[in-house]
Amino acid sequence: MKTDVIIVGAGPAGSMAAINSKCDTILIDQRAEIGVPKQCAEGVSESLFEKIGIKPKKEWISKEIKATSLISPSGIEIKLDDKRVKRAKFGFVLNRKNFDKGLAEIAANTGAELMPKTRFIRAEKTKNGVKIYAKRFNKKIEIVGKILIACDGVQSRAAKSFGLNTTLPLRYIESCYQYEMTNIEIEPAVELYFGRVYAPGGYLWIFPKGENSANVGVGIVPSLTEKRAEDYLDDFLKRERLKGGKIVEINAGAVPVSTPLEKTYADNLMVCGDAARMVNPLTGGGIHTACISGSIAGRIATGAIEKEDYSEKFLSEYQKLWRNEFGRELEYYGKAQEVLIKLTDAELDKIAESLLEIKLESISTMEVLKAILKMNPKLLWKLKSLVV
Amino acid sequence: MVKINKDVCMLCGGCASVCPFNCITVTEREVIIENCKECGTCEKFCPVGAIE
Repeated sequence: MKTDVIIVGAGPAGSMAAINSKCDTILIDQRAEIGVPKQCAEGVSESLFEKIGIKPKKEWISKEIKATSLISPSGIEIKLDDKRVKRAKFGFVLNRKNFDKGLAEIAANTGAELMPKTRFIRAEKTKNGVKIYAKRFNKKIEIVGKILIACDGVQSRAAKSFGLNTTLPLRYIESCYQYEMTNIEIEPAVELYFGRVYAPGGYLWIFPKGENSANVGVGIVPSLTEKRAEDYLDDFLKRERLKGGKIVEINAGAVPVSTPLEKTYADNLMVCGDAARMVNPLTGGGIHTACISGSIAGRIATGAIEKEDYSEKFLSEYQKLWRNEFGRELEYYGKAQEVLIKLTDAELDKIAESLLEIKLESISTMEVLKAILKMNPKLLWKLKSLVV
Repeated sequence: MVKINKDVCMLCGGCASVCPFNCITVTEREVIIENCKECGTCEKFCPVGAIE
């Protein structure tokens, strides 16, 4: 098989890359059904669709969020709602299965060749391009192209084939476990529980999905505890409020919580989304950055094919552009995470107390982080010593 | 070599993403381990304790 651009992985990054690639494009994914299994808490900020220039379909969105509660280890709740937040846009809980499949459909309808159940095995560079080996059902296939865009998630094999080391130490990867539950009492509000008691190094979440259903999950940094993600979640489910809850789906996965890969391009290669660790390390959110980086990679690939220049030098523009969009922000959150992860539960409770009266202009990681630092100047000093 | 308890494994792929030696491949239906160095990283990561 021959094409211009080969994209591995039809998650949001891969599909957005395919949508924005205006040349011959093949998009492969090892799954038989795009979007399944879900490995995500499904929350996104309100600006996502505007940013990626795609009008969301009704079935992509499960629930509009009306508030976000931050809950400290001892139970102090900071409820950020329209009384506290001036521009009260909180975002959505997506239906990732529909969203991912929907984006892949758009990619297919705009000209990309979509190949489900096609598992990437390895890639090699050819004289002036790239050749990938894959397995479609039980058949070995080869695809020859000019550019490879690696969107194959946190376990990226495609980037590794080109010598980019994408393996993360356990300190920088969250072990995640989640139940989609029904028959629970739920407001259209996100609840985030912090502290070693709930989730060492991460947090425990409730993301509303419907009138009485939600994603209830946990992400932990495994190097900080002997217990498993599953243990923390099952402990949490013993609460009175969740006792009648029924599990309708179980999800597990890994989320990178470091800063992005230092180099996300090489001759004939660009790396996007989770594969390039483009995740907000404070929230674990990566849909936004996956979509944006994928879009940029698709556009750069189009230019490269037009100019017949697939060199590292030409593709370095990709890194420049995504860094402009969100690079500095993620670096900053990475530094903040280094400080916050060391806090004890008692210190987290103190921070929660300091936030009891806060008012915010809008809701975002940056706004919340700024408020925390303003009320806790000691943390600011710690952070400054890391940033400088 | 580590052992995967197939009845417990969620096929989430997390072990493949943490393996420092790239020994693990997770497909849609199985976990393939080659040249395992027994470092224990995947076992420590596994959200459901499927690795022994």
